[in-house]
Amino acid sequence: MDAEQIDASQQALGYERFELGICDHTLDDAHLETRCPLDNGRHTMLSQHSTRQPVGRLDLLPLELVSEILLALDIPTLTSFRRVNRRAMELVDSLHQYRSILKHCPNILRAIVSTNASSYTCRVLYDTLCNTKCSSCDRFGGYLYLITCRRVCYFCFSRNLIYFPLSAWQAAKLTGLSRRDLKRLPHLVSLPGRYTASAKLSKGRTMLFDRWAVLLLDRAGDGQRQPVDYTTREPRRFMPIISAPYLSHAGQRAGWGLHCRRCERNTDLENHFRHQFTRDGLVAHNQQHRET
Amino acid sequence: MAPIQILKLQNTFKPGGKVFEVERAAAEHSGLVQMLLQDFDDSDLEAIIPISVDVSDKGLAKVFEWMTHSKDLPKTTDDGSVRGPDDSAVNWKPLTFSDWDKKFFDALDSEALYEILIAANYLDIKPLYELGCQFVANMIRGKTTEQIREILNITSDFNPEEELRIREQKALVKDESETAEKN
Repeated sequence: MDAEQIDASQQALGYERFELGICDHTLDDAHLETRCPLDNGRHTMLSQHSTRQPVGRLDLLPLELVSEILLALDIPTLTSFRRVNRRAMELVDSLHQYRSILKHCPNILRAIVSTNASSYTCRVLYDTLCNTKCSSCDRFGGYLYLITCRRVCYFCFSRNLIYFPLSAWQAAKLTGLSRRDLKRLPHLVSLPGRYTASAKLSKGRTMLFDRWAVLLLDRAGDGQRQPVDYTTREPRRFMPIISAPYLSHAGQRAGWGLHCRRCERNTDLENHFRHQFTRDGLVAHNQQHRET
Repeated sequence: MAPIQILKLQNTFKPGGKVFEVERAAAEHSGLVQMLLQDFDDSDLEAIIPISVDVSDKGLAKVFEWMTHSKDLPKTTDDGSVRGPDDSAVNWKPLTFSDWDKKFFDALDSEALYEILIAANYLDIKPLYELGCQFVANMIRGKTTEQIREILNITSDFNPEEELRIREQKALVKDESETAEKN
């Protein structure tokens, strides 16, 4: 079979998320394009004849070390650094990790910049995008949990307690930390908008803290009690979530999760219509259908 | 117990480089030294191992100080997975500075820091240059564009018009958050 045939046969097996007919109202639906326009190289094109300045002391270092340093920056700082001057822009744009994220999923960059999620580096983001598995189960994870940059599947982010972030008030109460120290814990600032499949409106921006990081500091053990959790109807669970492709071929290609056509009406957890697969995963999954 | 072996290393980039005596266990942090050692018989370790990198002896001394202190760290970067919440595997390993590392890097001026980075890169000492890069990254972490310019001593080469555009773009994100907070 050539590539086109394989493509066609996979089309028959699966369908993409937007064909599901359900809008989950995650960060995907938060109007990221207007909130955070990326310049897409517009600035580097301008006035190329003007005098160029080096990036200060960094230019003393060999290029591979500069790349290493830039990859060790979090995305919000990396975008600040990019605005420093033309050479800095060039340096950031020449990172293949940054380039492939920008090419295949610019909305993830937009979401991270506008929520100011700064607790992980550019390299971690790229490595996570190159993985396929949900960090809490063995299935394909079609989403990113942006507070700590973990790949998750629908069932884990909507049901697993560790992806249910805490508010600043709750985090302060559990850890006893001051507001300033709290900011050292993984967190992001939510965007106003509608969240969950029932489109609940959240007007303000709130700080959301990673539950696991907070519970590590919880001495009294109050956080161990089961909180009130509306799972799929809990807006806070959807605020740090964005759908994510998986990158392959050294970031050259990107694939998005596919739903299985045969499972279209299934609601048992094993073969739920919500499960997504990579292309290879879908073929293997279909093989299982045939066998049973 | 095997006797402690001492290796002699000399920077031959410029004439008259100092001969450093480094414990073998420490020196083997360096991928380059490991490779060079293959050319030496265990019997003629008295010989001087030449290295050649554009770094002062002072910078090299710092690198060997780090190597000697960290000689017991595992040499090959083990990919032992780190456990995250609910015992799931995390695909990346957080870099942690030990108290000693922190003191070591804090005491450096920027020139020494860059020399160490260059030497660590040349000698192929992965843990050291990873720590060093992370240390430089931490210096500008969370800073604004203007602050970064100041820290790294960078001049902007955007013309006023571009500068304005970039600021406008930044303002878009900012405004959004401000109006949102008022709501």
